[in-house]
Amino acid sequence: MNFVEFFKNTFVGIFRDKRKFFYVVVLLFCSLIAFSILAFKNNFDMYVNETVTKNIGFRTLSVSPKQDKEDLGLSELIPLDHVVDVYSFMYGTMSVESSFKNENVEGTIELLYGSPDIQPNVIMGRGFKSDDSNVAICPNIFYPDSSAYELQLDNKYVINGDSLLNNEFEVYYTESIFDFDTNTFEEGKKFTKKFKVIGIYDNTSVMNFNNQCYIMSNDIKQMVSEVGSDNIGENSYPYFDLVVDNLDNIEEVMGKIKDLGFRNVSVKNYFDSDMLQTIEVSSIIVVTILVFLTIIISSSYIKKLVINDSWKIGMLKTLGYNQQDVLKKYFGETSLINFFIYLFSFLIFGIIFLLLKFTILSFVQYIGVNIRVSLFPVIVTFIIIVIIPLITMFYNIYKYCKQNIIDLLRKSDQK
Amino acid sequence: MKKKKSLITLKNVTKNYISRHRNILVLDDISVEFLSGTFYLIIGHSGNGKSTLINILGLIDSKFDGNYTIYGQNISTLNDKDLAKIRMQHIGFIFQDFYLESYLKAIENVIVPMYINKDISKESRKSRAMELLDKVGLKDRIHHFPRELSGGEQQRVAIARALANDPDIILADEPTGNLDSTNEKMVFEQLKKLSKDGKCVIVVSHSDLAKKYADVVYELDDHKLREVKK
Repeated sequence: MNFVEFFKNTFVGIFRDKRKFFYVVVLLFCSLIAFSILAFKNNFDMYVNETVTKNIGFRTLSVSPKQDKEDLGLSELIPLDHVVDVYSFMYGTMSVESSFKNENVEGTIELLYGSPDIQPNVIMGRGFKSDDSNVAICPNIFYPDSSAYELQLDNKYVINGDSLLNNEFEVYYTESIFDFDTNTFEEGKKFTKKFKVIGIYDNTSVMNFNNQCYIMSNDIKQMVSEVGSDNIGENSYPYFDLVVDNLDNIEEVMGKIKDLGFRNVSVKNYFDSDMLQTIEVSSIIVVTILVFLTIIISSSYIKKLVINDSWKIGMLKTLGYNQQDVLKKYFGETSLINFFIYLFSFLIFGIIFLLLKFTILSFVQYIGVNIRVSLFPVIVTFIIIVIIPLITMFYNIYKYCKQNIIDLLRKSDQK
Repeated sequence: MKKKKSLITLKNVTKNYISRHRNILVLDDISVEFLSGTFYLIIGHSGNGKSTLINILGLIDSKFDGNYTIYGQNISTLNDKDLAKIRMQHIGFIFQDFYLESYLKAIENVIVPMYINKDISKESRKSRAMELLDKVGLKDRIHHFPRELSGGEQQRVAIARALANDPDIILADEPTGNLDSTNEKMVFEQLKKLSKDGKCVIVVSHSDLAKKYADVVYELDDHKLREVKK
């Protein structure tokens, strides 16, 4: 029998044999569920790893200073284990005008405190080195306008990372002088500073806006000092931004800071870690149950099929089929059917996935979620839907092939 | 008249079963020769080993003592693969329960044995199957499923399937056990025709009608085989 005949006979068999048809429908359903749940789990894990773990904001603590200390307690914080950097919150960000301004965009960009230890994952170019200055790492989809804060980008005026890399731009900022008599700020000296874009990063993966660029800490400190923003008024006091090396060390560092007598210690970008953990644990349980259920369903069906068909194995042997012929027939049929189920469910899953990604779920990119299908669900579903049933079929058929033809034929009498 | 060939020879064949630690004798020192172009009938009381004998003849039971030669070849030297090849090329089986695949049409059931026969090309399988079904009088039923056929028709499909690879030996174990008298007669007539065409037909049956068609009748009695004069 050639492949075309075999293919035709196998699929004709599915539609004529109710048991086989039912098996195909059930396994198709299981396969679709497997793809969906595994893709969700995989995307969730990637989100936690890439977005939460790597997001600097999630490992930056806000710490109220010790007002009774001259250095506000800074010298106690810096030497702590797992502390990468401590700085006044005033150096954290600075909104400026830039040379990107034209008739279509305002040119407003936000500069963020950066260093070799405080920078996003660079996808083009390079990251910061300790002796860098006047350099910047900017978003891959760069939109120098304040409407970026509302996630309203006009795609016509977006600047792609490709064209931004290695280019220079200027920023313009003005000294702010506080008049204690009138309690107002007055404009003082104007400043210009040039930066070169040395790296490009994916802002959505760290939940930043499309106009936020990182610059070196010494540059932003200089700029903030020039505009006088680090002058502390009578009625305000700064807090520190304290960056921890790793998300796993947050709790430990927070504990140590509190032990040192600092108050009001909190994570700058709050995320509900309990909820994340609940989702993580739930998804592991669901995946495990699904995998076992699918294996049990397909293995039970195959075993039952072989037991019910054992007289057919006997009959085939009387017709002259040897053990190899019988194994080829059943193994081949199962391979074809299960592979077809896998491919068809992958196709359906792919269509649903793309529909969801570009419609209902298109907003999630702005909260740092990048939905994609990796090899993980593809491979694991293949193992569950194709490999494991094949192993089950092979084992059962091999077992029955070894049996005496007469005993196999007699099993028909027991039906 | 064509000269008859010796196809199967049994010499001193003995078969035992072990049941509840007891050794049960089924066949005792049987020696017999089966020739082409002959209709053999094996009769005897129920449970006295007729099916066991036919299973040995059909190479589906190879656990016995004694000598079995088919086409001059001693089967004790053959492995399972070789035995399967002999069954495919030379032996056609017909059973009481038909054993047809329920989701295959009549013509598809007949084609099943041809898939492993490299001597029958893909293009000729269908025409050969139609020819065989025509031969057994089922030309108009080739696209019917077994559930749409009567018992007699199903058995004739089984006969056509047994002839798929043009075997020289036809073994039938109670082929009319589930059939009415009309169909019984039709089946024996088919088998008789086959023996006249040169095939060695060996039938195990309780039916009295079978004796009318048989050329040689053997009786299995007290574990021994003896020829019964017609």
